[in-house]
Amino acid sequence: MKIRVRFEKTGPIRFVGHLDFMRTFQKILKKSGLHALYTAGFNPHILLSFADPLGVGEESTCEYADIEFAYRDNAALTEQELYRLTDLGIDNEALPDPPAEDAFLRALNEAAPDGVRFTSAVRVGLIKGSKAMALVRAASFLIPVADSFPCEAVNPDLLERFMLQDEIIVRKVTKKSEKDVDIRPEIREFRCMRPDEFPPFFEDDAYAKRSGLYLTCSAGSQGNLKPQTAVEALCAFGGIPCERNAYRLIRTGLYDAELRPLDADGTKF
Amino acid sequence: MTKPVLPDRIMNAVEKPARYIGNEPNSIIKNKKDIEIRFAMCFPDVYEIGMSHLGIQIIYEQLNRRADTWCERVFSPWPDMAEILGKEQIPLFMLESQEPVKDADFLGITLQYELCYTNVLEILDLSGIPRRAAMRSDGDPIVMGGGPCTYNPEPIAPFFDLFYIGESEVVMDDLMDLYAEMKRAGAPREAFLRAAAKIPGIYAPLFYDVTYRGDGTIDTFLPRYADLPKSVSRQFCADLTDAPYPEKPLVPYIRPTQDRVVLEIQRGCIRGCRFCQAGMIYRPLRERPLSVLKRYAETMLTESGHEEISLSSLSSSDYRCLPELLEYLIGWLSEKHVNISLPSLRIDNFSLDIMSRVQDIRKSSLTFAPEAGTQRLRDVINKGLTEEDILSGASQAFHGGWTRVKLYFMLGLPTETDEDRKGIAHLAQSICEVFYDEIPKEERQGVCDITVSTSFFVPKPFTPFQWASMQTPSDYIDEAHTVRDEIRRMKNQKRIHYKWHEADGTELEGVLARGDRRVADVIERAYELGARFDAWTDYFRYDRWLRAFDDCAVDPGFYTTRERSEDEIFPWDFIDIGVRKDFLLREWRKAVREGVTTPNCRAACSGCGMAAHGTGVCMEPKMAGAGKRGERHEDTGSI
Repeated sequence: MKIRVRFEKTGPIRFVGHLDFMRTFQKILKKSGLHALYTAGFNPHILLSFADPLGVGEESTCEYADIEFAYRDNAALTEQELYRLTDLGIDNEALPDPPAEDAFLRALNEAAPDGVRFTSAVRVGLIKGSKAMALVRAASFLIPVADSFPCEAVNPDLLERFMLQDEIIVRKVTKKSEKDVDIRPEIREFRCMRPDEFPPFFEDDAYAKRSGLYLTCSAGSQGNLKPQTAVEALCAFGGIPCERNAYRLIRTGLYDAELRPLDADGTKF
Repeated sequence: MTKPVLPDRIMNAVEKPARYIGNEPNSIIKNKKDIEIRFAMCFPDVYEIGMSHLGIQIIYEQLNRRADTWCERVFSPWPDMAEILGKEQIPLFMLESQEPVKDADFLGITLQYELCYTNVLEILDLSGIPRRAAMRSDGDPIVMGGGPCTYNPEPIAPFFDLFYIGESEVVMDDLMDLYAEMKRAGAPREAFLRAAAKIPGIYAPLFYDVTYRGDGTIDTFLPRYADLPKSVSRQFCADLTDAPYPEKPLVPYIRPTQDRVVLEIQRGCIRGCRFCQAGMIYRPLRERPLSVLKRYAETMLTESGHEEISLSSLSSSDYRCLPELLEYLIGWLSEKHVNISLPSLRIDNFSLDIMSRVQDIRKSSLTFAPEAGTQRLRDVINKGLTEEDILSGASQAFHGGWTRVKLYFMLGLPTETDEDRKGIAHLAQSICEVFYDEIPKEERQGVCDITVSTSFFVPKPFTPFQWASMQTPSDYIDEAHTVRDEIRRMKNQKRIHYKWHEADGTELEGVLARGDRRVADVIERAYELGARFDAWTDYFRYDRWLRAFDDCAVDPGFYTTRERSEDEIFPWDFIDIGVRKDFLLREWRKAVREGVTTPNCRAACSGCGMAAHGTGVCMEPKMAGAGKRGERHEDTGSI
């Protein structure tokens, strides 16, 4: 059975990069005592995939990972799904029942290190197209700004004028090329953070003003905007100097094409 | 959860900031109010290397079991971070509390290889601790060294307050008890160091004076005070059964060099290879009981979530319960989807069978360490391994489906001639021939692929070869070229790949391994000239060291190429490791004069001096042909 878990990654562990975090995640699964499904062979590995890698230094309250477990899938399986299980040498009917959702989450949370907390788990279909990674179209971010960040940039008027532009051209520099791109279509929502949105886990003396930005932008394989690019463009628009280390990024949502959370189609198990 | 002490501005500017955050699963946080001793346990290399080391995890466990002590970790910051810390005057910090190293009572530094010495100086500088022990005062941590390099601590003696000679399991608690008591009493630093130096195994270099003869060798080495011992006795754990072990191992977030649970099955080695320091300084062989190892394996895997377990020892095939242990692990672990990584096992039917069950033959290679190219030279170094053992091992392996073989050798061994060097090529060729002669074409899984690697031999203290002289870097390169050219003359030369080590690092290692206190100035000078991470090819620059030798008027040749007489007083002679100097000398003469071998400790006792301690292999009944795994065992040596 494939389960999509939602989890948080906050605090110092934000400095652990994606590849290292994947290793940590596998250790969490192993330590949890839950029965993940392993591939056969000399190097058995867990069938695990993440929705969207998080950058080093970024936090999140809403990450998703798909994990296959050796538990009976009690949903009506499609022919394709049955075929996939046979392929892995698995008889769905012979597998044990999954634990209840709360027991499942407790097992994961007891095995998880500081800063990683699992908040929900749903059953998703087994077929390829439904991978969390393939569904992602947008992400939202809370962007608390340090007291050293220019306060003129966290200004509703400036943001409104910024968003009223027809196009927002930024210079995109890669290792191979350098070109101008219009990022306006990638920005869905860009506004000031409401005071009640300030993340409760976020305690840092340098952020005493408790203010910041809120951004929803394109994410995933079909078009991706780095939130830093949006912040830089905003500062450039306002003629304000912008320092990368004067704000933090907290991802608060990952959405599909209809801007629904990635576990919207999941079912209870 | 402890917040990183460094601001985002710095964390975002460095490579792998997770090296500096601590907070890993099973790391230990204590309340400062409840503790009397803060101990900074340091591995003077980058996090990923240090976190792969079992020793510091044992000490971490051992010290943190004490209610009055908090042991935290410190590693060398990578050069990008070191530069920022230095420039911004941010003191080096411990990972757990993220507080300055200087706040600790002890800075314990494990010295696993000589080429880390400049990193030690950088750690002291970045911590704001005076480099020289003589310059430190009451507010500075006690800087203590341990590990294999302390078997000749003299080149770094001026930088340390204390050295712990031996295994931490023995007198570490006595030392901590003494410190706690004297701290409470408000005793000054020097009084504590004086008292500590009376604990067996503890050496306080400040209290010992060296005089030299006209020829530069040591004349006298004496304690400054009558109540201090003239010789420091190495401490070792008589029985490992109940010794502290990290059953809840720290689990790094970033991939360490060893990303697995490490199970130390035994300590010490029976083989007595004459070049090998570990084979002498960890005597006698002491096995951990099977039942204890089973328990450790289970708890460590459960508590860590690791996906691989590795057995650790100097010669695993000599562990008497190895078949039972491996059967147990394979049975238990296959259900848990945990891999087993097999260490240096002697290649025979038993080990090949085990290997074929736990790894993919097509992807794995077999490793042999003949160390020398001819039987004559293998006898000189007491590597009790014959050409027949190697060829029959290779034959069995080829029949079992393996095609890749790795061979490890040393160059620059005592008595070595061109014939021995060429013998390396000949042995590789013979292995190729076994493959092509014995495996019919239709059964071959690809071609045979042999990798020959050579390193240059560095004589180490407390080995029979401590009297040996080294060659110059250009001689070493010539020797490697002899091997290379001979390999090119072999019929199957296309199937044989040859790699050799750089020679400059070898010369430096030679100086640092058998140096005396005068070398300390060179180390400090090289550090001032920018030397760091000398064990890393990307950072090692020998010109800095050559200049440092020059600036300090120290001739490296005195420590490397010079012939040492049999009655020379060595800088490390004040340490009593339990193995007697006359045994080492006997072994040296047997090697270079007679070229004859010495049996391993299980076959016969050769009177090294350890039997007096009455533990480990010294107390086992000798096999005399009645051993469980047969006589073959005694003679083959570990491959």
